[in-house]
Amino acid sequence: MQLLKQMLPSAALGAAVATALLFVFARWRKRASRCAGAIAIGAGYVAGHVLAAGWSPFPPRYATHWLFWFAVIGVITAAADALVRPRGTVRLVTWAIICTIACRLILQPKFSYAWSAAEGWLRVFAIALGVVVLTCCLDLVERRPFGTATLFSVATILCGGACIALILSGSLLLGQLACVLSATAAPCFLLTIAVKGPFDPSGAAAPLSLVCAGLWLNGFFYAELPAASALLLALAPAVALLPVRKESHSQSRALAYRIAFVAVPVAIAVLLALHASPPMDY
Amino acid sequence: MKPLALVVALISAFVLSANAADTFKVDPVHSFVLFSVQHLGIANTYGRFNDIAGMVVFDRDNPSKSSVELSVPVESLDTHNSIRERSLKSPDFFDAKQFPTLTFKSTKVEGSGDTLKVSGDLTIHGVTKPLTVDFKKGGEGKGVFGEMRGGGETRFTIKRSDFRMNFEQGEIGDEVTVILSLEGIKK
Repeated sequence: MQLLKQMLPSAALGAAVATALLFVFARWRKRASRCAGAIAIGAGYVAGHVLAAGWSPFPPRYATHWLFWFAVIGVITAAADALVRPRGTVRLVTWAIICTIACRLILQPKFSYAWSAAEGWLRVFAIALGVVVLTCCLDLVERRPFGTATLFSVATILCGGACIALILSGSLLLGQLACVLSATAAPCFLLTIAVKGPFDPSGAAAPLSLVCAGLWLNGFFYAELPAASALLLALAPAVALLPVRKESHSQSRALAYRIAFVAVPVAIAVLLALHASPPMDY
Repeated sequence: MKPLALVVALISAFVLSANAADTFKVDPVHSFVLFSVQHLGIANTYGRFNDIAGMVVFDRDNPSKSSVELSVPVESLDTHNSIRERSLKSPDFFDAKQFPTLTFKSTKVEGSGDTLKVSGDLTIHGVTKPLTVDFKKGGEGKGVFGEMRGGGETRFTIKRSDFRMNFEQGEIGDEVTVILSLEGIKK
């Protein structure tokens, strides 16, 4: 109960901010929906982050501070993408550069204490490549029919699972921040389904992938998130791309299948984190 | 007689100066860093760091020339519960992988007799704050291998929020009482 009491306010604030913003977009700004999803997710997460962990200074002092700025960077990138509409290659290269810089920044302490420059950069490039693939997966999910709702539902399940796995890995703070992201995505999913007429609040892939990657990197490198759990969480969105039979007949059934598909690796990731956590001793 | 007197005077001066400032290497087996913090306002939870390293230079004739330098690895934290230790070492509190050591470096030592006022910089969680403690000198004597030993103890309170460890304020008290008991081996 104490745990819920602690997590609820920041999660509720994130959800409220995202809901309010999406409502405004749905009611008055439908034309701006190309980045409405990113703004709702980003602003909701930022609000929840501030309530849970306080304001993050710039430049950040701790790796958890970067999560706040990753959300901001994700929103700015999504908005720029919606405005400029660059070619696919330019878009991919720009995002790869952003991901590499983000990974280098969040892993700075490892460069200071554990890794040589060559080893560190090799790891940064590999992780950044993973983040780009994650973004591409989320982007592809979003582009499919009924994609925005699928993306928000995948994010809800993914971050909900990450919340439990991170708490089991010893960091209540990281778990709380994952809970904020999950709680921010959940009302976006419900609103996307509820709003009648053409409303497609897209662009959320950028802030979602950047903040999720930040959470998992924090969990793996600075807490005790098992490598297998981190990997399964990162791969889970790709499962949502699996083909679903008779998709054209029932969009909601296809959505339900996709949620179930994604829930499997997420559940295994949670079980692995549970297995790796020490006994409660109570 | 004059050259002999000079040699004696020089030897005496050397011996005196050598005795004036003794350097002690902190013995991690007989030194302790203990801490207590309130839990839910109900009772105190106690913990310790199982490892400590450092040097103490003690000038008994001129204590202001004394100095202390200590380093404590956060990974050695022990609270008799592995879940709590994981949480304390995680980014929620000490963030052990980003800030692996706690350090103290003295900037001024004052006083005489049994209690010395030691001022210095305490670094925890990447934040450095000035700290002044009353260090109560213990005894001096020989160890089992004939080595010269000296030591003492101090008790002080810090606020974890001063070191940007603000998580779970309310559930876990802000004030942390620290007991530092040092025993050093003379070099």
